[in-house]
Amino acid sequence: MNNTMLSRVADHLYWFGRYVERAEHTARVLNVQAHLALEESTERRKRKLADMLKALRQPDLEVKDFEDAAYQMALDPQNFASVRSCVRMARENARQVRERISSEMWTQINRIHLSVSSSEQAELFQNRPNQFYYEVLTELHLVSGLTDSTVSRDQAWHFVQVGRWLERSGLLVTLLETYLQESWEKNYLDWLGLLKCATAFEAFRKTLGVELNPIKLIDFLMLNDRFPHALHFSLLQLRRALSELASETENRKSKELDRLVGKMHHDLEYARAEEILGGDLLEFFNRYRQDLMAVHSMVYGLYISWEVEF
Amino acid sequence: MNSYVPEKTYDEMFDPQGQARPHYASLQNFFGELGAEELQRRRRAADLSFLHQGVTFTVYGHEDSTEKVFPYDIVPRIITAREWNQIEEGLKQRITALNLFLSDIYHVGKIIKDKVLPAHLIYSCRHYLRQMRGVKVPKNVYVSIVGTDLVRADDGQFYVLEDNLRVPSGVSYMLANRKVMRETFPTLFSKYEVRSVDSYSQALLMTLRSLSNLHHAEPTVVVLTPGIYNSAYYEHALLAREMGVQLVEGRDLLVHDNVVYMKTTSGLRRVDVIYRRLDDDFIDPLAFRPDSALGVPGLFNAYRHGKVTLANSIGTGVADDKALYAYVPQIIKYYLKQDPILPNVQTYILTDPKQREHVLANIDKLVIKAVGESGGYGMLIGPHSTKKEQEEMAAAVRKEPRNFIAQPTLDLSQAPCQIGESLVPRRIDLRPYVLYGEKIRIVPGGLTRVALKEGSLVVNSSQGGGSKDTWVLAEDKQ
Repeated sequence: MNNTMLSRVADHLYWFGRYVERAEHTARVLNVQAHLALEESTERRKRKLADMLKALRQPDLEVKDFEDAAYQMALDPQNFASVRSCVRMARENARQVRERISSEMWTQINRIHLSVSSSEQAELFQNRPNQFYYEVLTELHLVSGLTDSTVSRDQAWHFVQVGRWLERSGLLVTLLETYLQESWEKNYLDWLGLLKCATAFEAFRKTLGVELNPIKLIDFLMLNDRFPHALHFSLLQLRRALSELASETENRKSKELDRLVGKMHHDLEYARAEEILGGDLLEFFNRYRQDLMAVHSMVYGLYISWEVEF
Repeated sequence: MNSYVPEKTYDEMFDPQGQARPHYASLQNFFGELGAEELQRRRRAADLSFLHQGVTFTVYGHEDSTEKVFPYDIVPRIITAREWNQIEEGLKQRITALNLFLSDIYHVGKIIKDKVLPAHLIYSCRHYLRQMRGVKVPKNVYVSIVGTDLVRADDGQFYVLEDNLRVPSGVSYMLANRKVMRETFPTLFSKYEVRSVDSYSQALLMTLRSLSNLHHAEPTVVVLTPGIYNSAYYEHALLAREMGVQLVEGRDLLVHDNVVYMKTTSGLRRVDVIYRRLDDDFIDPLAFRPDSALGVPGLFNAYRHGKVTLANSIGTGVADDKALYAYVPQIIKYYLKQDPILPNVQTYILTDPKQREHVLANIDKLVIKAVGESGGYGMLIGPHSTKKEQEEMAAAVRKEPRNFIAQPTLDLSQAPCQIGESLVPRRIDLRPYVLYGEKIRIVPGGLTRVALKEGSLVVNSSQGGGSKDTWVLAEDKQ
């Protein structure tokens, strides 16, 4: 009986996973990009600002400069894409399913919510933005850590994972799409920024050395199956969570979904960085994004908003 | 503690000579030795604990602040083993009689035929639901979860102020208070033998399971909540989690062929027992309020056919109607042939012309309550009211006497509370929680509600009330 999960609850857990991931990603990208822009020319700074907003899926946001953009994307409660809003949404979803997540998880997400809404944190953001991002990111990592260490590997956990890895995959696609496009000339610092946005700089260096170029970046951020912020790795996690769900729920209609994710996995597993870069990069990302959206719809159709038949 | 000046009413901690009562002596020493500064520090730690746990309630009518931390006081209230024994026996007696009463009035109505109660009193009550007439209720239990409000008057005696037989709330604050107090004052606990309240959820689950009409070993129990915007949502979630059962909303359930199902990730699952935290009116739009979006269409029919258990049953509000309350002592005598162990507060029935005229003549000394309201709404406290309020109330009473009752202004007992820097006396009541299944279970403790405003007699959380941890002692030392 404890294996039962309400469809509505699954929905909230799924979005909890997505919003926590989104909040974390947004905070990291802001921190990295705002920091790197400090030592740039005015012209390049402008371009970097536009890229950052694009990477955060807010290309049309009206901003004055980096500082203003950082405020709007970090703390503006009116902006639904801000870290603060993502945290609020994660917390709202958690609040709806308090009885299904651990108290530790709830307490932690509630703490972050209270903290990013406080005047102390707003002040910290003004005076020492680095410290602000460091604290927010640490607190958000704690949510993920507590999710991993205080919850049984049951449906609840798997739904959070589906949300988390699906969101991460989508965010990575947008990030790579933005920074790998040859719209203007990129230099070492730009590649460095891309790696850091995916917490990948150190891991990259250990695996592929110090030289940075698009082929190596694709090789690592897309095709690596061991690094947690690589597309391939994220897809493996998503696939595993989905297959666990199918067996936990004894769902017999999950064949189609399994086929789709299997195909996506196949495409990454046997791809080569040179081929991807040599082909139509935009087309590749577009298709991948559509596949991710199809995964989302199928998860909904199978578990969350399915039709009742008698 | 030195600055504490008791008012002239029963004080839980001090006897009339100003000496701490024996069961409060250790507490007095403890707080004395702690010092004001350390006390403040502990208070802040406790504040944070409540905030981080998200122990909140929702205030209606405040657009900006929908979620608030439930106000609490950090000085525990102590009840002796002897006092508790009497409370326990009294509550058992009362819930037994009230269940017999409900079963009677929804079937043959013997008590009416025997003229113990006037029929009009029952049939005019808006919580008496004709739809329930003749319905065979699972195990013949109407009320399985009760939160009875007790007050101690200046004679030191506990009185029943109100039976809450519909959807009583507050038990989660009892649990949360205890949890935070254990963190805040661990050493004080070691000076007492305080009985644990942690088994409440287990007891609730056993009670609910025992009410299932079905014969399989593990009936499926769910908690039905109106959703996160309900003032007690925190509690619904807590109880579901502690019992390890699903917390469902109306939209998660559906009824097919009089069987109730919930929508899950693995398809439909049958539901056997519903602990519903939704009022009668909202439970089924087909049977009651058609505009209710919170309920489940067809649920009442499933219930009537015995295919699902609802706890509490429907239509139980007739037995906690404030006018009917006056007759509970007679109800106990009628069904159990016993005298009530816990007395009632004297209550005037205003449909009786003689009583009504007496009340209207003394309106400035009495408390007048609307019978259909709860939560401290629709209430006039004579001594604390203006002439204009009294006149308005008098007019309302003349117009619809059935809708009101009057009681003497009770001098609720007081207990020390830490407010600001000092300990000050505040009025309190006590709400223990009673569970009625295959047997009666009462967790030793309850919610002590506090009127945090100086001089106030209203303890409801919606009216500026708070709560404190309630300690029932395992044994009284001589």
